[in-house]
Amino acid sequence: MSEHHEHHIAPKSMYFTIFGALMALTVITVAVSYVDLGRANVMVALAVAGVKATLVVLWFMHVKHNTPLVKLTVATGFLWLVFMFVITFSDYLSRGFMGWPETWGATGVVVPKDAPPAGASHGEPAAGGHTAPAGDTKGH
Amino acid sequence: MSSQALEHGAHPANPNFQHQFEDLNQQYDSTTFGMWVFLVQEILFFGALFCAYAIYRAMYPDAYAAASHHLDKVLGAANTVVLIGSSLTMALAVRCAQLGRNKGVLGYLFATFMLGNVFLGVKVVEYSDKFEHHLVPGSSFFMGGPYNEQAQIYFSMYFAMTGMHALHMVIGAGLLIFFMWKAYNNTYSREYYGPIEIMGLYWHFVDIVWIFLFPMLYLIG
Repeated sequence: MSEHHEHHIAPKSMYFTIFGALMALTVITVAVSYVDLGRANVMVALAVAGVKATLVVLWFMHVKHNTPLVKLTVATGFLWLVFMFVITFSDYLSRGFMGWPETWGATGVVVPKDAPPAGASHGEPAAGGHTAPAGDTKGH
Repeated sequence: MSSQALEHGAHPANPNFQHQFEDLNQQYDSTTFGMWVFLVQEILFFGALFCAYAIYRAMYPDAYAAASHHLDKVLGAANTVVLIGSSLTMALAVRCAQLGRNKGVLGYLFATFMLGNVFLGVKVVEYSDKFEHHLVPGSSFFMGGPYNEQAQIYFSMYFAMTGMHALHMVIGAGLLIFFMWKAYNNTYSREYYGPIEIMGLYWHFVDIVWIFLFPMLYLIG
C-alpha cells in the first residue's frame, strides 16, 4: 500500500468529454419530461440521473483509476442505499395486501384469552375495555 | 520540487507530510479513503430524504405532479448546467493540483466558487418566489386546486431536500475559499495534492445529489 505509485493524471480532453455527456443527458431528461410516457417518465428520469451519477463517480471522482479499497467502499455505500429502499418499500407497498383491519369482518376479530365466554354479554363490550382492537372501530 | 527525495523508505521533507503516516503516498491513500467513508454516510443521509420523498410520492402521485408545476423547469435546468459546469472546473482544479500548478488551482477553484454562488443566487430567487406565492408549508400555504393540503407534503420535501443541498453548497463555498488561500501560498505539488482531491470529492458529491434532485422535483408530469 505504501510503495511508490504514480497517480493517474487524465488528459484535459477526458474532463470535457464527460462534461459534454452530462450536458447531453441533461437535455435528454428535460426533453423527455415534456413527453407523456405515463409511469415510464419516472423510470427514464431515474435511469438518466443514474447514468450521470455514474459518469461523475467513475471519472470526475477518479473511482475508475482508484484502489480496490475505495471501489469497495463506494459500492458498499450504494448497496446500503439499495437496502434502505428495498426494506422500506417492502413494508409500505405491501401494507394493503391483506386489506385493512376494518374490512376483515367478525371472523377477523381477535378475541383476547381473558375475554368473557361468547354469549355471556352478546353485542356488549366487555367491562374494563377488554374488547379486541378491531372491535373498537366497529362498535362506537 | 525535489521528487528524488521521495523514494521509498526516505522520510519526505515536504512540510505537509504528517508524521503518523509512512510516506506521502500512504497519507494520500488514507485521507482519500477517509473522505469516501464520510461520503458513504452522506449518501445514506440524502438517501433517507429521497426515501421519504418516494414514500409520499407513491401515496400522493397526483398532488406531487400538481405541486411540481409550480417550480420553474427553466431555472432548474439552468442551475443543473451551472452546477455540472462547476464540477468541470473543480475537476480541472484537481488536475492542476496533480501537476503542481498552484496558479491553475487558484483560478479553477475561483471559477468553481463563482459558479456555486450563481447556483445559490438562483436558489434565492426561487425561494423568494415560493414565499411570495404562499407555497411555503404552514398556516399561510395556499396552492388551490384539489390537492391543496397534500401539496404541502411535496413542498416540505422540496424545502428540506434543496435546503440541505444548499447548506452543503454554502459549506463547500467556504471550503473553497480556504483552499484558494492555500493554493495562493503555493501549497500543492505533484507529491502533495490530496486536500484538493478531497475537496473535489465533496463538490462532485453535492453535484450528484442535485443530479437526482432536479428530475425528482422539477420534472414530474
